[in-house]
This record gives sequence, structure tokens and C-alpha cells, in this order.
Amino acid sequence: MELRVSKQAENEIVIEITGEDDTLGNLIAKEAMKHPKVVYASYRIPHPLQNRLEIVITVEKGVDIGEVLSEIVTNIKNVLADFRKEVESKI
Amino acid sequence: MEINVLEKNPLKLRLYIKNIPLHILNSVRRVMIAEVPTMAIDSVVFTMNSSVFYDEYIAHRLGLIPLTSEKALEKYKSPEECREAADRGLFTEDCFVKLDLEGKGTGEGLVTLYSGDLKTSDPDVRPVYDKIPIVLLANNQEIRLEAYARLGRGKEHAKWSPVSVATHKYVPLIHIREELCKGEECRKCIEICPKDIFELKNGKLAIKQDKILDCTLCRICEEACPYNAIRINWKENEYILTIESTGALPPKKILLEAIKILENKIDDFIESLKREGVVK
Ligand code: SF4
Ligand code: SF4
Repeated sequence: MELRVSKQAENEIVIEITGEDDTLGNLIAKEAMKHPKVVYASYRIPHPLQNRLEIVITVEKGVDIGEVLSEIVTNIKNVLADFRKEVESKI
Repeated sequence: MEINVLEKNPLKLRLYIKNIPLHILNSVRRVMIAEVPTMAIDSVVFTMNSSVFYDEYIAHRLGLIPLTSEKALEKYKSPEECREAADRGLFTEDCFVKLDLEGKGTGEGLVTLYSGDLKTSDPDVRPVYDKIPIVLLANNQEIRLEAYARLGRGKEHAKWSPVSVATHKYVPLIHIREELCKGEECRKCIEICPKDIFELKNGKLAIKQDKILDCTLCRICEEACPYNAIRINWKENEYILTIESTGALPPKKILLEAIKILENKIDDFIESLKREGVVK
């Protein structure tokens, strides 16, 4: 994945990804908003003709963003694993 | 999470899914449309075309023919690799399936070339339907061509999308305030509902339970009711997922592939963050 961290402050991160769209942006941003230590999360597609995505996440003071991000990802993966199990057994 | 199958046949799947977050379901749906690969014709070499259609026109029609792709997903290289190969003019066997088409118009009326006339180099990749017309040939008009199919994704061109429909919708909650409803005297909502959800039972307004999932949440009934007796709402975290396949892949396979692709995408995301030193 063509990923670049375009800004990283103490409790804020801006991640820029080329070649991804709402599929990943909305997924990460909405899941991040459900995380208790996230203050703000959103995504935007800066230009419709450029294949570029920007995700912004702000966490509470003193919290490690990296940890929060891997927890977000784990949560999504758990749901997907659950989804797969249901699909395989019910259909 | 809980899934109930509402409808299932070789081309269509309708699922009632409980306890799934909307953003995850939506991403799975989007991956089904734009990122689950299928086979489709992408390059065509004409050695003869004296029909009334331009080469480009026929090539476009060929591209839109759904090809069976289930086995091809394992057999052939990824869309990205094959796209590069095509750009460099390398129609190699690990990427491309060759489909030949030949036909000539005879004296007696018009000859139609159908998708079934395509001769494939790999029996696992063939037109899903044999009766899609490609071109009509009059006397002495002739077509000779070689078409090359490869794996691709819907985001590159819709011809590679395995689904013609992939939607999710809310599960309706229809609430009737009986003390306000005039029932038999009024009947307005019964007449106006486009999905025919309401009926009268013993003089009282009732909901046809077997039809309730058809409700589109259009709220026409709410507006039509003079007494404010109806409220339309929806259930949290419950959705109806509808998938209609083009025939290239079975619906269940499309769903499972989409989940797999999304999982890989997220793994890739976290790996990249590790590389950047954000995640330890
Ligand atoms: S919202 Fe529309 S479809 Fe649903 S019950 Fe009312 S009128 Fe019928
Ligand atoms: S329109 Fe309102 S009052 Fe009339 S039958 Fe329907 S719910 Fe009852």
C-alpha cells in the first residue's frame, strides 16, 4: 500500500494513502470513532480526479496512536472473521 | 452476528444480517462491486472485419460478455500483474485466455454470431450465456478475430464487476398508534402504500407480516395519514443485503472473496503503518 504519514503530532495523525478510496477511509474512520480513546476521526478524498485518500485521527492526550490504530484494525478483523464464519455455515 | 437466508438461487442471494456495524457491511459491499476480480475480454485482435460494426464497437460488446471465473481466480495471475503484461503487449498464458470468433454471412438471410460461438482456449473460462448476440452478418460479410480475456477489477471497468446488484437496506419498523387510527373509515395508507404493506383485519389496520421487509421506508403513508397515526423507523444494526451475480462467480463466492480482499487490505494498512514506524 502506498502510505505516507503526512503529519504526526503528539495526539494527532494524518495518513495519506494513494490508490485507496471510501472503502478503506470510511471503514477506518467510522471504526475509529467507536474507540473510547479516539476524540475525532474522519477521512476525505482531497480531489475526485486523484486517487488519493486522507485519514485524520485525534486521540486523547497521553495515548499512543499506534496502539489505538492496531486495536481498531483488530476490531474490524474480528467482525470480518465472524462474518466469514456465518456466511460459510449458513449459506 | 447472525445471518438468515431470505432468498438463495444460483444468481441471487438475499440475507438478513443482525448485529453488524454498517460501515463494515458497506465496505464489504463496495469491495464486491469494485474489487472482486473476474475474467473479461480486454484486448481484441481483428484479422478480418467487413461487418457493419466498427472494430471498437465489437470489442466493447465482447468485453461485456460475462465469463465463468471461479477456477480462473486461482489459475491466473492477479489483475495488476496482467494489466502490466497487456500494456507491454505480452499475452502470456499465465494471464490470458484466448477466445476465437469466426463467421461469414451466407446468401440466405442474416447470420448472427452469438457468445456461444466463441472458441475458448480454457474450458474453465467460457461465456456464462451462449445466446448473447454479438454481430449480424449479411451476405459475404466476415469476422475473424482473437480476443484475450484477463482478470480485472470493477474499479478499472464495470465489465469486471461480478455483481449487477449489491445493496444493503434498513429493516423497517412500522408503528401504528391504534388510539389515533380511524381504520375502516379512513383507509388512506392502505391505498397509498406502493408496496401494499397494510390491510384491514377485523376493522382494524394491520401490517402484512410477510410483506414488511418490502417496505422501502418511503414514508408516503406517514404523510398521507391525516391523524398522525403512523411512524416509520428502522432497526439499529440490522440490514438486508442483496447480491445479484452476473454469472461470472456464484454469490457466496463473491461474498467470501470480498471479505478476504478486505482483510488483506487492512493487513496491508497496518503493515504499512509499521513500516512508517507509527505502529510498533
Ligand atoms: S414507508 Fe412507504 S413502503 Fe413503507 S409502509 Fe409506508 S408507504 Fe408503504
Ligand atoms: S391513514 Fe392513518 S388513520 Fe388512516 S388508516 Fe392509515 S394509519 Fe389509520
